[in-house]
Amino acid sequence: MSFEKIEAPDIYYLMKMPLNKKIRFFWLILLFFIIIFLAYQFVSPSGDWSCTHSFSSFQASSCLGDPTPKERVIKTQGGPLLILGEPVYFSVFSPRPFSHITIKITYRPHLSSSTPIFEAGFLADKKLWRYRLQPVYNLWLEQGLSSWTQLRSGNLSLFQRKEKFSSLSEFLSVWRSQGSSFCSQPRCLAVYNLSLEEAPPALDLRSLSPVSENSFFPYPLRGEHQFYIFLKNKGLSLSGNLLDLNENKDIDDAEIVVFSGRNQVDLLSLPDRRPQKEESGDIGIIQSVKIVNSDLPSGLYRLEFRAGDDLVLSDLSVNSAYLSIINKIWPFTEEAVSLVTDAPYLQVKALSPAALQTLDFGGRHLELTEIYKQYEIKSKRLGGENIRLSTGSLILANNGMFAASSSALINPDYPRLDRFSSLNEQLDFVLADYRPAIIEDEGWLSSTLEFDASDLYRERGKYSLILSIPGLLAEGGGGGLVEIKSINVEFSGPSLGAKIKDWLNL
Amino acid sequence: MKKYFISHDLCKLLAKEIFYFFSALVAVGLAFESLLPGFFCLYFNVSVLAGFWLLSLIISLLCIKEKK
Repeated sequence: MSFEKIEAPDIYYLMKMPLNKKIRFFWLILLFFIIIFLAYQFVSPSGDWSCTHSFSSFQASSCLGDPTPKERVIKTQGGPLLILGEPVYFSVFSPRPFSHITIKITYRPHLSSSTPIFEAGFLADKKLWRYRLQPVYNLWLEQGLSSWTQLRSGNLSLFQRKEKFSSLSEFLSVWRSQGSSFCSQPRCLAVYNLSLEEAPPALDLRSLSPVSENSFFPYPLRGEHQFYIFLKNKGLSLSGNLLDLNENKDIDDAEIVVFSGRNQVDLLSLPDRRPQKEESGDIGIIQSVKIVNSDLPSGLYRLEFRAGDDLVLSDLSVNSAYLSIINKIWPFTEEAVSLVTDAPYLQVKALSPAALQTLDFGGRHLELTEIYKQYEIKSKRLGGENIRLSTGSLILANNGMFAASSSALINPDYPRLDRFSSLNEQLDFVLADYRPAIIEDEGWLSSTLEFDASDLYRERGKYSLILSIPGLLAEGGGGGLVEIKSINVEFSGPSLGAKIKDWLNL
Repeated sequence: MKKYFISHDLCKLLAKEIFYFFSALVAVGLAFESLLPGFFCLYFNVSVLAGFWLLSLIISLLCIKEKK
């Protein structure tokens, strides 16, 4: 048996190296570790990545971009960020997409009854500019309902003006089986931050007695809208006309989606195959829209007209006595418009000088003198009001429904606890999915919010974060301010190992 | 007792290698930034890095001048 002589590696090789090679070896190793570190952060093999932006200390760079618009915030030297107006936007960088985001905001709210709600969220749909919001701080739930009885289970809280239920499970059982029958007066239950698709409707559908078989909406509607309809008999028949204004550069695909609860039951796709060029202002021909689905059982349905602002839906007709437009309406006409709404307030915005006017809301007048400014008007009483416009082309919004006539108005939604809610009347119960703020030192509070990030909008490695305090106006409107000390963002998702296993189908 | 002195050659060598290091780091930064804008800036202060790179360039240029 023979053995070959194997030379042991020269461990003194490095020491014997010339000085210039030693120095180069050293910085190459350093660079190698920097690249490994960056690659590790880039890939985030553990599936977790986090960053913290502290406004109270100097940070040259952070995953959080500068807050915009700048006139709504004040950056104090070595102090917190002051939010004076809303909304405020931040871009949030992440090295790759994640499936879950947890943000922790440390803040001091100085809010009033006109600005009781502080929410944060991420952009979910850029086309429709929809943000998915979560509560950060709710003045009513934290302080305003302190005299009410509170039942709590996890994040779900029930506030009762007078104690009627001894446990939350008892309330949920009665609510799910009998609807709002426990109410001594209609619409006595308000909700906050709840997904209500599976909840019993606020309205007893059996009590509905439609006066006609069909509804026709007399005004063209511009951009995205949502509707409630109630089919008395089996089958849906909807028709209308679609017009493309071609004012902006985006391709104007559209969809009409029909929902029953949270289930999508029908979809009409309307791709933009029109020959007119975008931004040309060439209106082109009117496209007919029709949905006929004889299989749909009678009941309540929600329709979503998903479209950009270039598209106008006109001559809308449906085989339902009720045709309510949910929360926002943009009538696109130069003629006078008459509508009804069931909310006691109205927010109005004019987008062109031709739309400036004095509108009538339940006998009260609101003069619109500036375009792009949001105006608000409150009703003198609870319940529905008539809206009269001398010309359309205004965006009207509130937390209720709009309809062409009171007989066509239906509202199956529970009143939502927003800044216009009145806690002194009508409401006896408030059900909220809300995690109370945690009290920290020196009056600071912290709230932790969790988001499913799988379908959040992300562009050039950045998510869009919004901080919203409805009613907070930077232009001397009052309502208080919010101090932000820090924002911590934690991203999580499947680890690299799990992803590899998934790719290999192991 | 040994006498220590600063060698001009050592200075030149250090200046040259530091310049190479910062140039390589800037190249790595550019590569990461083109791949994912904003990523490299999270971990490195770009203005400080650019300042060091410029300083190392000036020093190494001075050293080259000295060689003449």
